[in-house]
Order: sequence, then structure tokens, then C-alpha cells
Amino acid sequence: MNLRSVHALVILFSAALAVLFGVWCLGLYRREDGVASLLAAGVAFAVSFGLVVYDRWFLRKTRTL
Amino acid sequence: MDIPYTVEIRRDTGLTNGKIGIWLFLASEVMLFGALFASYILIRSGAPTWPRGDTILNVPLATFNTLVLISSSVTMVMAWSSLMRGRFGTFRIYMGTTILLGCVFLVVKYFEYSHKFHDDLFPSTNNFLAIYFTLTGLHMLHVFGGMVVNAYFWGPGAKLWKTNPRWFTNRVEHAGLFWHFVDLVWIFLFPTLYLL
Repeated sequence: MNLRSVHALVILFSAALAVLFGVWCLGLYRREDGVASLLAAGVAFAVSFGLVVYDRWFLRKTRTL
Repeated sequence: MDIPYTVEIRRDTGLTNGKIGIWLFLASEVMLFGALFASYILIRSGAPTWPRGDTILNVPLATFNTLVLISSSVTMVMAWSSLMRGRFGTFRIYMGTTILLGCVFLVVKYFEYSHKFHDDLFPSTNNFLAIYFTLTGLHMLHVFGGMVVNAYFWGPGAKLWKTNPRWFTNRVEHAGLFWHFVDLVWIFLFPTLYLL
């Protein structure tokens, strides 16, 4: 397993973590009703989506390495 | 005498010696952190009460640090990818950024620790803090170790690029594998300690 595959895997785990963080923020919003938590959840889901897009771009870009 | 199989692949393992070495090392690291995670689960499941991480720890700071480490794994892989394409100048920029991001992580962690000590929260305060300081402290040592190796390849170790670029690229890849392992440990540490 080379660095390219490991990197792709780590980014996938990061995307999963961002989703988990988003869900945690939503839970916090339900408990404390802070708008900042709702905003943070939105940003976390967006980051997760961005990481998946980056992962696909990275794998395509480094296919020949 | 030259070290064998630094660039060419061994027929019996299908890998270079350096790559076998780094994977064996990472396997031992998995056992080390695995044992500590197992201890955490055992202590937590056996405790009558357990504090929620976000009531004691600073989640926004840790979230920022998570982003810093993920970014550093991107710059690390870009540094290696630059060498694979023969662009040494770009490698230097990406590797320098990786080292800088590692510094940012450690500085943020220093402020987090200082704040805890200021609030009289020490490893001896309770089991949660004992495991928090043990796991994050060990992780910090790994970040520091990775930074030292990366700084060596950015600085004095880079002269190998002139004499044996493929060997140098392999060495940077091995450093990158370690750096990604350190990132992965944090990806598990962050939700375990701060969120759950």
C-alpha cells in the first residue's frame, strides 16, 4: 500500500469524522438551541462533501504515480 | 557498501526494505495506541459516572486542530507527489508548509494544556483527564517526531535528491506514511475524547 492509497483512505475517514461532528453539532443545537451549533453542523457537512470531492480529484490526478 | 533494496523491489516481499520497515513500525504503533484505546474503553465502561468531553475540553480549538492536521496530510502527499514528478522546488514549499502546520498544531495544544493547568485540571484529577493527557500527550510526541523527520528531509537530508532522487522520494514517502498514521490517530482521538 503506497502513500497515495493511504492518503485517500485518511481523507475518507476525515469525511466520516466531519459527518459525525455535524451530527454532534445538531445534537448540541437540540439541547441548547444555539444558532452557532446549527451553523457549525452545516459547515461540517459541507466540509465532508468537499473532502469526498477532493478525494475523487486526488485519485484521478495521481493515477499515474 | 550500499544498503540493498532502497530503490529496487525485493523479489520475496514485493517491496523495498524501507517500506517493509515503516509498515512494521506502524504495526507496532497500532498496538501501542490500540492498547491505550482499549484501556480507555475498559475504564469508561467500568466507571459509574463519566464526564462528557465537551464539558471539560475545548471543542472549537480541537476542531481547528483537526482541520490543521487534515490540511497537513494534504500538503505532505503533495510534497511526495512533487518529487514523483521531479519538481524539487515545489516539494520544498509543500514540505515546509507541512512542518509549519505541525507547529501550529503543537502551539494550539500548548494553549489547551496551559488552560487546563490554569484551571487546576491535571492528569491526577480524575480518570478522564488521566487518559486524556496520556493519549493526547503521546500523540503530541508523535507529531513532534514526525516534524523532526520532515524537517530533516526539508533541510540537510535533501542533498540525497542530487545523488539518488528515487531513494530520496522513497524516504519522503515513508515519512508521509508515518505522518498519515499520526493524522489517523487524531481522527479517532478527537471524537473519542471530545465528542462522545
